[in-house]
Amino acid sequence: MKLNGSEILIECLLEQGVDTVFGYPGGTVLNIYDALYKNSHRINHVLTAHEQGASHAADGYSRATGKVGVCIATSGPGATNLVTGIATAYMDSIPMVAITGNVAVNLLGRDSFQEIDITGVTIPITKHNFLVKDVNDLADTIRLAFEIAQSGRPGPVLVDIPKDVSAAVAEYVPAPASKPRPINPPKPERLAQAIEILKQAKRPLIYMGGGVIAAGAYQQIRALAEKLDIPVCSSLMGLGGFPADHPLWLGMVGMHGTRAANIATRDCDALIVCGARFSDRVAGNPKGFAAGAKIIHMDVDHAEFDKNVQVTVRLAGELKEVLFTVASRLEETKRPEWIAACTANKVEWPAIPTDPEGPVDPSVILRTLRELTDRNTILATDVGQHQMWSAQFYPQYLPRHLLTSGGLGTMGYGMGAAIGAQFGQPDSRVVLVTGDGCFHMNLNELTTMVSHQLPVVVLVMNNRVLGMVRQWQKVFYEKRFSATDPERQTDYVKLAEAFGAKGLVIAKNGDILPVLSEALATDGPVVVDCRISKDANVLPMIPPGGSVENMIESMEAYEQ
Amino acid sequence: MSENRNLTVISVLAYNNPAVLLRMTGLFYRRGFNIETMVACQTDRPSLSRLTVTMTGHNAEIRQVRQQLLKLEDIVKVDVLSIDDCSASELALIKVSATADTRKQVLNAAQAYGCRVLDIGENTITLEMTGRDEEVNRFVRYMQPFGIVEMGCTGVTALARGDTTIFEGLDG
Ligand SMILES: Cc1ncc(C[n+]2csc(CCOP(=O)(O)OP(=O)(O)O)c2C)c(N)n1
Ligand SMILES: [Mg+2]
Repeated sequence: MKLNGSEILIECLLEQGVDTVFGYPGGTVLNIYDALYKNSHRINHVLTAHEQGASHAADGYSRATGKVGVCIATSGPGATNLVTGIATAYMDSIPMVAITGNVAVNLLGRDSFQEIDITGVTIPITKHNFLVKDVNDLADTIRLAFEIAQSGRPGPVLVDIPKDVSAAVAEYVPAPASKPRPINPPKPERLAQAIEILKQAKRPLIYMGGGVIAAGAYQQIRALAEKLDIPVCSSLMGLGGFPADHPLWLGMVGMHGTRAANIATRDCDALIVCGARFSDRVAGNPKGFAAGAKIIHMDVDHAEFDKNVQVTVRLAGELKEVLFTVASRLEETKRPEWIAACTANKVEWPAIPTDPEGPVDPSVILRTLRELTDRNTILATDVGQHQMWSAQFYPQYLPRHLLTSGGLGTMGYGMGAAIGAQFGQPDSRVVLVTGDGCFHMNLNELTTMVSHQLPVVVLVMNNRVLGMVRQWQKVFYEKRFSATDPERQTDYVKLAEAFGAKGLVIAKNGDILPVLSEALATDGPVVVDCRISKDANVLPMIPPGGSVENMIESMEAYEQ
Repeated sequence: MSENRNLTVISVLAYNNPAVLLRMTGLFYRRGFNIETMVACQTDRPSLSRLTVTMTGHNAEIRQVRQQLLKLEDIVKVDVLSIDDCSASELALIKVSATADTRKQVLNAAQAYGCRVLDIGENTITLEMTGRDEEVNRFVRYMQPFGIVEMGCTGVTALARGDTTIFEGLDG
């Protein structure tokens, strides 16, 4: 069948099972948008307010569904606007295919109007990218892009299509969806070594990360933990991969992790690291991290071994299989003393204050929200204090229900991610917890939520400051609050209404329950101005480079 | 770590795609890998190029370089060899000043070191020296007193000793 490049692109997306793409039109993608128009009954295109929103939407769609997210942008500024979203997906290993238009092949390299070398720009932030100069290569390139995005450690792939290639005609031959490449199992002698360490271990601990979510290895990690009675902690990216109400759960580990998780990493004698990478937000002091433990590192990416922390055993492979094999080779064990020692460090949350006129505590908003929403609720966050409070006070029970930019820490991620998640999971409730700073970055996407009447609840944790940066200034810069107190006068209710959304306010403790209930009962986007104190802190906090010994648990005690 | 930092040869087999060098050098740059030399050439298989990189580092660093390289889609194979396990050579072109008085000495030295004489100008002689990097360096040091006016040098290219090749284990 003869088709033009744009039609071939659409057919290839359909081959891959893509039903929704996020994008923004422009000169060099006119042919592609024409094909999208003609195929609108087969593939849904969501127009965002900004290409960055489209890139985060593709990412949020992917995180919420496990499928490959797709975004489309025109050449030049359209393509560069995708960059932050592609980098966000890259740092968190999210499978994505970004399609950009470019100027016609004969205009490449001449600084033509809206020409950008986007493949050059995105080399460091993609798994791979392609510039397709011949329409006859297009179909296989798209298929390969999907294969690469999903194989091994997932990530974004960009395909740049010059305008004449999207117009040129070629023979299209249908093909099945791309499959991820097979993964080799770990070496038997390494497995044996790991088994031996775990047989000897008296105080084992599991530290898991986003790799467990990517591999879908939740059952396997739980089975291993339960069979061997091993407590579990997780990086931010792994939250939801292990149920937070499980007796073996110790919480998040690292800079803003729980006391219990951080003490356990100090005291364990064997550490199973599963799909995690010892980022500096987890292992602030890599030399001192789990210093008393033999470390077994399970990961699909061989380059993660010994990158940040030297480990004892490297188990490269598919995580489900590796976890299953390890568990099946070990006897059931009980270690009540170690479990008791770990769980004794869990800190109880304070009682929820009852004074209706009292101040609004962000943790109370999140705890109340948790009570009002079912486990299938998807929580997207932005980046800052509100993000850490979300990780701490909105426990996760299911994978793919917390969407947060962990690796890149992208302010402005949340609006797009929430949109993408709502399209990917139309039956789930989607709540975005953002900050006043982040919201001002990409609030333009409110218009997208309104156009599609997405019932997303946007909670703006409005401390009127760039709280996380301000907290660092408080702790490390003697309270010189440089550029973190923007004194913005935004009226969030009017703003929401101007976009065609609903606006609500939580101004005192007594508003929390009724206003959240009203927001959740609304059929369409709602923005809630949650007026919290600018002095609220994220605690505990291990300063950068530090260990659990340096943990700050109370700001008052620290300041003395 | 007290482990030795050895000069290591990293032999890379890669698809001849346009940006492959950019991808590799970008990787070295952003990960802070300190490479010493890099030489690219074609192979007898038209779709494949060979890139020879030399680097001094601990085993763990070299391992990290190899694993990061293997993540690049265009890279087919990465062999790590100690410099002592290879036949290795580099090439230097050296333009030495040679007056009527010194011309004879320069030519004698070239002969003693097994250099080719590529060009003789009015006041200079251009020599080609090949060999291991220490041999080339020794020759350069020897020629310095005559006055080196200009010099060009390739990096190291190397093949594993014995019958093994980089193509081993590849199908087709
Ligand atoms: C795009 C981007 N720019 C700057 C930063 C640095 N940064 C991290 S958190 C933060 C403050 C966020 O402010 P806000 O959204 O109000 O959240 P809060 O910390 O107050 O909850 C800033 C500026 C970032 N992470 N991303
Ligand atoms: Mg704020």
